Amino acid sequence: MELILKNVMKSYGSTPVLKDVSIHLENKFAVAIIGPSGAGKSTLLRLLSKIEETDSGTIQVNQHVLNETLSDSYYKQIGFVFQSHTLFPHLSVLKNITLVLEKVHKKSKQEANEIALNLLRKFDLEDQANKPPHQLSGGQSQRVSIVRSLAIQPEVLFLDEPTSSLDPVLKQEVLRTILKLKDDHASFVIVTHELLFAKKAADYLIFMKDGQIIEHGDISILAKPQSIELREFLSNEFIDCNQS
Amino acid sequence: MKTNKLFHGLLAFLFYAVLVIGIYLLYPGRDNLQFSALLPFSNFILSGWLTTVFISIVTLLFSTILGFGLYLLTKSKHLYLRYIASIFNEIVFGSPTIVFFLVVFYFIGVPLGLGQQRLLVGIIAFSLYMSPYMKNLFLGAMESIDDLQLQAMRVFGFSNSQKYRYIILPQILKLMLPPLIGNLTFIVKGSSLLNFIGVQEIYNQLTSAQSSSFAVVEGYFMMFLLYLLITVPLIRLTKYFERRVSTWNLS
Repeated sequence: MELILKNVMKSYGSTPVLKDVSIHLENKFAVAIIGPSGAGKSTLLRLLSKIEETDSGTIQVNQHVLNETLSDSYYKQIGFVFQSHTLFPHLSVLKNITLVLEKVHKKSKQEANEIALNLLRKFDLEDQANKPPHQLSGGQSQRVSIVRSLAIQPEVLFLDEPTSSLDPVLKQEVLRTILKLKDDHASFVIVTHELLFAKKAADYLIFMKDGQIIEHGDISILAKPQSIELREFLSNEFIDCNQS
Repeated sequence: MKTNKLFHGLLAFLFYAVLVIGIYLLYPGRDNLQFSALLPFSNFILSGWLTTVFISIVTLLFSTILGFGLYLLTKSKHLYLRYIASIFNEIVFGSPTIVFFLVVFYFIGVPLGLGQQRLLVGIIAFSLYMSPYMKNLFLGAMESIDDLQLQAMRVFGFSNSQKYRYIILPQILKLMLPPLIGNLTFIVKGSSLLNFIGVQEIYNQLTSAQSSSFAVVEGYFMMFLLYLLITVPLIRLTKYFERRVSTWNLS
C-alpha cells in the first residue's frame, strides 16, 4: 500500500485537529496509528477513507488522489470498520454481508452467498450466519463487521479503534481476527490504543500527538523512541499496563 | 388472575350499561325514538360507511407517500427545497381541517376540472393535509438509526435510494407501525369533515337518511356507533403493535 500525505490540514470549527501532516509510505501492508487521545488519529483515518475531506493539502492512497476522486467510486475500493459494530439490525449476519456485494458490487446472489460463507467459515463465524445481529456478542458483532468489510476485497481496510467498545476478553477475540489479516497480507491501517497488539500486527507505526506526526518507522521505534513525546507516551502506557 | 380480569370487565360493562339506561330514561322524547325508521336506508348508510373506510385507507397510503416525500424535502441539501417543505408545513398546521378541505376543493379541485369528482378531491385534500403529520413520523423514526450506521452505509457505497430501500425503510417502518395506525384512527375521524365538500361518506349519507326518515337523533346515534366500529379496533391494534414493537430488539 502507498500512503502519501502532503501538508494536510483539518480543523473542526476553530479547533485545529491536524496541523500540516505530511508522510510518504510505500510498500507497507499493515500500518498502525498510535498516540494519546485527541492526537488526531481517528481524524486522519477518516480523511484517508474520504469519510471527511481535508481543509487543505493532498492525500494519495495507492493510485487514488483523494481530492480528485469521487467519493462513491473510492468507497467501492476500501473498507472501513468503526469503533463499534455497524451491522444493520434488521438483517441476518449473512444478509449483512451479501447486501453490499449484491447491491453495490453487483454480484449475483449465489456468488455473494459463496463469498460471505467462505469468509464466515474462515473467521469461525459460520454458526452465526443466520442469526440477527442482536443475538451476537460484542466481539462477534465486531468480527462480522470486519468480515463484511473484507468481503468486497478492499484495496485497503481502515480500522478505527475497533476494540475500544469491548471488554478485555472480547478485545482479544477481535484482535486475533485482525492478526489473521496480517497473515493474509491484506493491507490495512488501524488506529489503536493497544500497543502490544500494534507491535504484533503492524509492520509500520505512526505516532501522533497534538495533530502532528511526531515519529514513524517500523516497530523498532517502540524499543528505541527518538522523540521525547513518544518516550513519554510509552512510559505512560507502561504505567497504565502495570496498573490494570 | 383470569377471573379477576373478567370480574372487573363485567363491572366496567355494568357501569356503561347503567349510564346508557340512565340517559335513555332521562331523554325527554324517548317514546318517539324509532331506530327502525332508518332500516329502509340501510344500504345507503352501508355504502357511506364503506366509502369512509375506503377514503381512510387510500388517504393513509397517499399521505404516507407524500409524507415521505416531504421528509426528503426537509432533509434536502438545497435550501429552497427545505423552504418549500417548511412553508407547506406551516400552511397545514396553521389551517383548520375543514377550511383546508374547502380551499383545496375550490382552488385546486375546481380549476383542475375536478369539481364533480368529489371523492377524488376529498382524498387529495386529506392526503395533503395528513402529509406533514406523516413526515413527523418519519423524522421521529429516523432518529432510531444511529449516526455510525448512516456513515457505514455511505462508506459501503450504497446509493441514496438503496440506503432507504434496503436499510432504512425496513427498519423504521416497524417502528412507525403503531403511530401509523394511530394516524389512521385520526384519518377515519377527520374524514367526517369531507361531508362539507360533498363527499358521500357516512356523515353525509346519514344526514341524508335523517332528513328523509325524520329519525334525526337515531341517525346521530347510529353515526356514533358506526365510527366507533372502525376506530375502536384500530385503537386496540395500535396498542397491540406498541407492545410488540417494544419487544422487537432493534439494536
